[in-house]
Amino acid sequence: MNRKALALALVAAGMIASAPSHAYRMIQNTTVGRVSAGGAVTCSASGGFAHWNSKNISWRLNTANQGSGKTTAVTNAMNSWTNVTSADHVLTYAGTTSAGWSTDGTNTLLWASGNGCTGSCLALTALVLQSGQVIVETDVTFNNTVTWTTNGNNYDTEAVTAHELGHALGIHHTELTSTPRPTMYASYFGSTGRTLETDDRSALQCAESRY
Amino acid sequence: MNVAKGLLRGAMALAIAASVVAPLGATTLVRESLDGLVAGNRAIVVGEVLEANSYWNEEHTFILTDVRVATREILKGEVNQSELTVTLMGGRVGDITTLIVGGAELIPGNSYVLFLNEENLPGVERALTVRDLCQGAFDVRIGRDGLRAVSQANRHPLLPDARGSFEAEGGVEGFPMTSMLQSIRNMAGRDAARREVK
Repeated sequence: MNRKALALALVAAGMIASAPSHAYRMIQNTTVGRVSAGGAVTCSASGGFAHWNSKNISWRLNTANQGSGKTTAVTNAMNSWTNVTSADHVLTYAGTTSAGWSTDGTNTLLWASGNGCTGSCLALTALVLQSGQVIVETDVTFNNTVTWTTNGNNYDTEAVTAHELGHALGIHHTELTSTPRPTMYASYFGSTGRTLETDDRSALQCAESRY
Repeated sequence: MNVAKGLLRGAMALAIAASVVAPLGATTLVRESLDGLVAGNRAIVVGEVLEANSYWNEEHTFILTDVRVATREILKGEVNQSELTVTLMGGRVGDITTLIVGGAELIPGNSYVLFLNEENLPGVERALTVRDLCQGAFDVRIGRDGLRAVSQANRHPLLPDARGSFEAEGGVEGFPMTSMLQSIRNMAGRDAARREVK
């Protein structure tokens, strides 16, 4: 019995040890004529995941409200994903826009009081998908009633933008909890979230594998 | 022998946890307490979703979903109808899906405790909606000890609140329905009394 128990314990320990160092997850659309929060799945999930059909994606910034003065922060966040050498994504800052939280073909980052992101919501991401879970547009609305900074204090615009852009690329929260924390870690952890980690880079490679 | 069994159980539990835990959701939300949910929302109901219908708003700029809810119990607010229409952002129309990451998920046939407020949504002013997204919807489930209300925010990691707490209200097991509903009634009554005193 002891030997059997020990063997099983070793198997269990092996399961833990063999847990992948990459724990990223992708967003799977489970919507069937209703609202869905999106499921978290592995890269090889049979149902696939939301993804772009292009590596070149541009975003515009609506400078109304606290969007003013955030150009460098959002550009830096885009560059973080572009600079991943193991993937060929190019995220481009395409200038300012007056576009809002609407399905209009423009990927927009905006600050607003409303848009369904009030109260406890800091930032909200919407993905517009066509059949095959192809992302055709993403908008991110930041809650204008909280303070957004570019100096590293809470809430750090660049870190949160990098995180939300990850979602806009079809990447869900990582399951990795060890430090250094990936940008796609589930919770805000300050300005260190500006820097992508190996797990984030692997997620982007996974996204690219869908092209 | 018992120690080995204990170790085995612990290791297996850890292994299973490591392999199955999968946080869902993606938007950035700060944890809201039950008290905060009660105070911040105009109406709180227990209801069953009858149907959900997605459509483009009038300006054709955003997909919304109207969810028809049969109210079983009204815990707060002047809700006189036996049915409510709750409007949510996102949904699917034809080939196009708008997915709101971290939104409330209301499925026909299922029952929920819903925290509802009037908010401006794209193209619709003062729509009755689940303002707090996944935090404002509790799934009603049958537990070992009766009905329980489980926050949908368990599928969505939250930022810590002012007290440093980040667990969704009720945790993964949820609240026993009876005590949760009583707590909500008490909180709503206390808020109303405060307003009267002012």
